[in-house]
Amino acid sequence: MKKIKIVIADDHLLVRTGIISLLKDMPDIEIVGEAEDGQDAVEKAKKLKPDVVLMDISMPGVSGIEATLQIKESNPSIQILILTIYENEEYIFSSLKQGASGVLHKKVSKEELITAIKTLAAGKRYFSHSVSQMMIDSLLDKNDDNNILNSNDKIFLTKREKEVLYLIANGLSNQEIAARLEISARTVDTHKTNLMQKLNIKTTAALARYAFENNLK
Amino acid sequence: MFLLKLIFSLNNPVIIAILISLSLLGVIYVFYVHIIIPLNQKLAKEKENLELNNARMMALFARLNPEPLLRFNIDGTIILANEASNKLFEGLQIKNTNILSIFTSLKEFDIKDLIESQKTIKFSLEIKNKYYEVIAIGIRDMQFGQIYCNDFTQRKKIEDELTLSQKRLRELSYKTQKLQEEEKQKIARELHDSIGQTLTSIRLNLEVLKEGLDGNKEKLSKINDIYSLIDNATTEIREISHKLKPRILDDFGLIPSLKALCNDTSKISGIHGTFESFKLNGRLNTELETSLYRIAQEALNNIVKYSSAKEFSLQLVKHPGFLRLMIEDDGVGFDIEKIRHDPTKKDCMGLINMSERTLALNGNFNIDSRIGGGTEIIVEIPLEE
Repeated sequence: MKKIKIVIADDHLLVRTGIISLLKDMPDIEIVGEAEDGQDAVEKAKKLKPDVVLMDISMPGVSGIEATLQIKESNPSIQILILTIYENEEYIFSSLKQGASGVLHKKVSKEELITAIKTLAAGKRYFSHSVSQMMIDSLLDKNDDNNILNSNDKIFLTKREKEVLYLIANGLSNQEIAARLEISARTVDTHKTNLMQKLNIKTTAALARYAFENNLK
Repeated sequence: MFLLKLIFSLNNPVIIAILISLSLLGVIYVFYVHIIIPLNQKLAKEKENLELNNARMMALFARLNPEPLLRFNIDGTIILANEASNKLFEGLQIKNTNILSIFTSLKEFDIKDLIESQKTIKFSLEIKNKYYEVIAIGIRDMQFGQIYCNDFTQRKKIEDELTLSQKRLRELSYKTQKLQEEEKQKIARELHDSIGQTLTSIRLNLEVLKEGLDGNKEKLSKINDIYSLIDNATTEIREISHKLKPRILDDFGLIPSLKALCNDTSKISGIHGTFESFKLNGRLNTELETSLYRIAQEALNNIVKYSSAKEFSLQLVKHPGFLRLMIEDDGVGFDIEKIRHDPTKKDCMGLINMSERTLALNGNFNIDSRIGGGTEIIVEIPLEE
């Protein structure tokens, strides 16, 4: 059987040796190279043509995410498996955007690491449990841009903005709104200009119309 | 004859009446010439004396005034200059010159109108390294105007020193903050990269060790204990490092960082929070991103600690020429004046920090709060387009 060739990219020697010690006895996996930063990973990938690159995210100079993009651009058949200690969605979504096929937390067990490498080598995706959990949470989070359930055409207004808009629609002046809500006239103006900017509205009259059309009166 | 005699006789009542009238007129004439006329003359002289005295007194007051004082008539000609003003304008011909040639700031005003409408004009003047507050007052009844020059050099010096020391303090606080940020970032990176990665590699090596146990249950449970110890340490280090300086701020900028901050704060505190950004794309400069993040962090800290709010919202709205960060909550609010005047209060430091950070970016910091009615914090930073 053909061995799966891998390159390990991590700026920490200890982490690289840790991973190597996990994988060195595996008969179907061959570690063909190590890279100590993003630039190195790009060069090693080009030269050694591995099947899978185990990629750390934060590395000096070229980050793991940038290196992923560069490797995928020059050689799309190389699969990138992100190994990270960050579980923030930004890191995960942006590495996926740049072409990574899998994400693992560094708290990984030997079995899972091997499963992930084999899955990627077979051209499929792999995400550790905590990562997929986080991704789904983010997709369902109603405050999140990644949300798939929310149609994003409705612009979010805060409680206070709704109150100000309601009073504008009722024809109150800034001064009157300030008195009614016990806020300063300056704050009323701040809300008003924010509303206009958010809703792409240029005049107070148009704000009032927006309030009526959206049942905020 | 008899008739004539009869007419001019003293027995004729008409004659008697005429004689009485004539003597009355005589008496009146004598009274007028000898009593009324001299009396009038005396009064006029007294009045003249009084006015003269009055003028002398006023002149004396003017002369005695230790501050420079000038008097000018309706044409603008200086009719009086006291000793102090002569000294002030030493070497200049003051008396009988036009006021405008000395006080050029008055050129934009009509001197006649100044006197007729009794106006007061104030401006400042620098002469021989001294600063004067000049006041010109028109006095209609006297048909002249007066100019007072109050020396406020001392006050100005103190004011200038105060402004300078405020500026220095601000620079110092700015530098301290910057150093602190750099220091925090350094420690955060050290913790995360060095200790964090060491823990990771320990964990990976432990995986290898686990293999050689061949199902020894006792040793396996020991190793599992070590796993959880390592995991706890890793989590703690990640949290400390994140609190010091969130890595996501460096790597992805303000919007993802604020989103994460908002979500974390909501999760930990149970207060429902939202974050939205409008019309802002891409990265801002590092300093601006760090400062706005810290301001938001401080504001959310306060909300969690003091506000008892049910909801908060964090908004970043890009306007033409400036960026506005707005943090609102529906909590208990507070009396801004009270906190401002009591800097011993701990939460006051937070407000000062936020406002200092805003000022360092040439921005506007504004806070609006009322007891029982929530709080709005508004930060506006100018942006180059």
